[in-house]
Amino acid sequence: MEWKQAMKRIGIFIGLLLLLGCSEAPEQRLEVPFSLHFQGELIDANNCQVDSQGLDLNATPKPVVNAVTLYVHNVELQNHQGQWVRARLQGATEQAWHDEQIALLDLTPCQAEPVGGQALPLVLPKGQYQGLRFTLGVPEALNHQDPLQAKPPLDLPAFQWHWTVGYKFAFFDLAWRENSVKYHLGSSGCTGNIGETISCQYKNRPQVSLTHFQPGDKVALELRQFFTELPHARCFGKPQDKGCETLFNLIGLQQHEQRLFHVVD
Amino acid sequence: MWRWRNGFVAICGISLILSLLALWVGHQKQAASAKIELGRYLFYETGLSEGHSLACANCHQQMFAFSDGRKTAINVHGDKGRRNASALFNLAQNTSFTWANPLQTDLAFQALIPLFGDDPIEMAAGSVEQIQQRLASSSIDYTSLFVSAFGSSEINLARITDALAAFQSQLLAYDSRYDRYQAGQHDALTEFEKAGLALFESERFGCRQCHEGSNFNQFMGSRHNQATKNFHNTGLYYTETGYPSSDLGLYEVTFDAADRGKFKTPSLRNVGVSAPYMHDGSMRYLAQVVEHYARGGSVNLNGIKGDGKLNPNKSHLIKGFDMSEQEQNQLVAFLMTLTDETLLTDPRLAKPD
Repeated sequence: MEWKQAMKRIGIFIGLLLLLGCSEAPEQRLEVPFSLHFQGELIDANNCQVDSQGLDLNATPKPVVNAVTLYVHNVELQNHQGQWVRARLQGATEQAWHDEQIALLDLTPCQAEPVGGQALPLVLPKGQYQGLRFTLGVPEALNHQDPLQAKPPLDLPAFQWHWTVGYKFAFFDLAWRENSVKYHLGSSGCTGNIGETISCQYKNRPQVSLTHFQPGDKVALELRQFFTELPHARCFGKPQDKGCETLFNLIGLQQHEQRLFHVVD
Repeated sequence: MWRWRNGFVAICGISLILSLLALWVGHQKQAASAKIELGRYLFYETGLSEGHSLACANCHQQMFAFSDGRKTAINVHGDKGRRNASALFNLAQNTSFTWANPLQTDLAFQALIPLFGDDPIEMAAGSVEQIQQRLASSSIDYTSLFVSAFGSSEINLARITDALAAFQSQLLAYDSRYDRYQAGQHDALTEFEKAGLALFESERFGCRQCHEGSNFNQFMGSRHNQATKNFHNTGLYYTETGYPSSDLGLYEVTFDAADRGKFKTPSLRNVGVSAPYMHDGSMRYLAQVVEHYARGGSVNLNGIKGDGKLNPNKSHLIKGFDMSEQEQNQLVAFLMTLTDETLLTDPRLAKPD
């Protein structure tokens, strides 16, 4: 009789273990919206009203934003114990602008058909968080894979950087007054063979850390800083491109603190 | 009796397997030739570009050995690029594609650069959906071309680039007068041209140092034919600030200062029909090219001030040589014998009717 009871207890114990194992740890969702700003003012759909010459009809001339897209991965929030907790991206949406690891953000206003999201849809273990950090770019393990076999959000030829067999981690195409800015950020100085290993001297994947972030806040990109003394700033990943210094400086590469991203309420 | 019957069964079995194999091989061959045919249609298809403005064939024209006769290529917006459109033939023998990019070792992948590149913009193909729409509205029946080549009508970039590469691998040029001479037809070259060949092969001129191999594009010093050994600074430019920053060649990909102004050695086959020359089309005549190498560099080429001969990055093989006017003419005459007329006229490589 005794062994039967013992077996029962063991059975219950195993059952409980299984239950525990199968039940998911409680999670929470957090949406982190991104927006564009110019001298602190939001650039949104209201900026789409342009006259026939393409000039902004608003009182303060804001820049014309032809494109701002970013690849973002390794998204983490800091819990109250000070530990950074990895968030995953919510199950792929219809538009498939992200997988669990990588999101493509398309912050270009006035677009009929955006190619990426405007917010990071995060899933985190339940808890209290502050502070946000993420890495710009496509993870190295995926950056040089065959783009023709790539799954969303890596399957868009516009953001593939075919000449370096990689991706454009960030893409800016802006104009303001007589000035223009065209920036492509990606890994450069690469050697290797397609289909085998390709490694790059300049990885160019800056980590953006926003320690003042509180859930509910937005991440803002301040675009005014792009317009420096260079009338036509270009950085297309070539060593002689004059605009690269400004871009790297703003985005937090080559030992600079990033200044492009801010937290706003 | 048994033995006889077993033998019969075995023979039947083997012949069945053989005929199935033959069918399979036949099917594969058919699919391969269907892929080449699709690639040919796509090569001449303006629907691969924004506003139907350009096909691959605009910058790669058969009459110019699939280059375009222009100094530098012109894009969908009518803007001039910075580089001369390369001639296309014997591509399987290339270690890399484009003028200065050792990463581009895959012919199918390379097509993505002209299709989608934005620095410079070339064909501006747009999104895959836009390409699909343009091909669907074409008068050419792409549905059946894709079905024959790939078994279904799906249009995607992997298939498009695969078919383009299949067609380009048919661009063969091994039937020049030089080849016939090499094959033993002694009268294929005139005495004047033979003298030019001898100069070409001579140590004094040293052409073979960089133009080795059956395609005249391999570096002699590299038996393993490492990709980066086929790139050289040939002394075209040397300004007060070094090499003109508008195009720094290999350095733009490798970020290695020693690679400034290095470009890939092109094949010399069909040079007679693929002018102008150099990565930027800065030389219009072969005589000028020969003169450049005889001097060991150019002065104020293309209106850019400076003496390329003095460029510290210049290949040590470009030393210059003495040459009489007659020798110059002989060398040029020899280079003209490297043209394969079939490549230029073969209707199977021309725009489909």
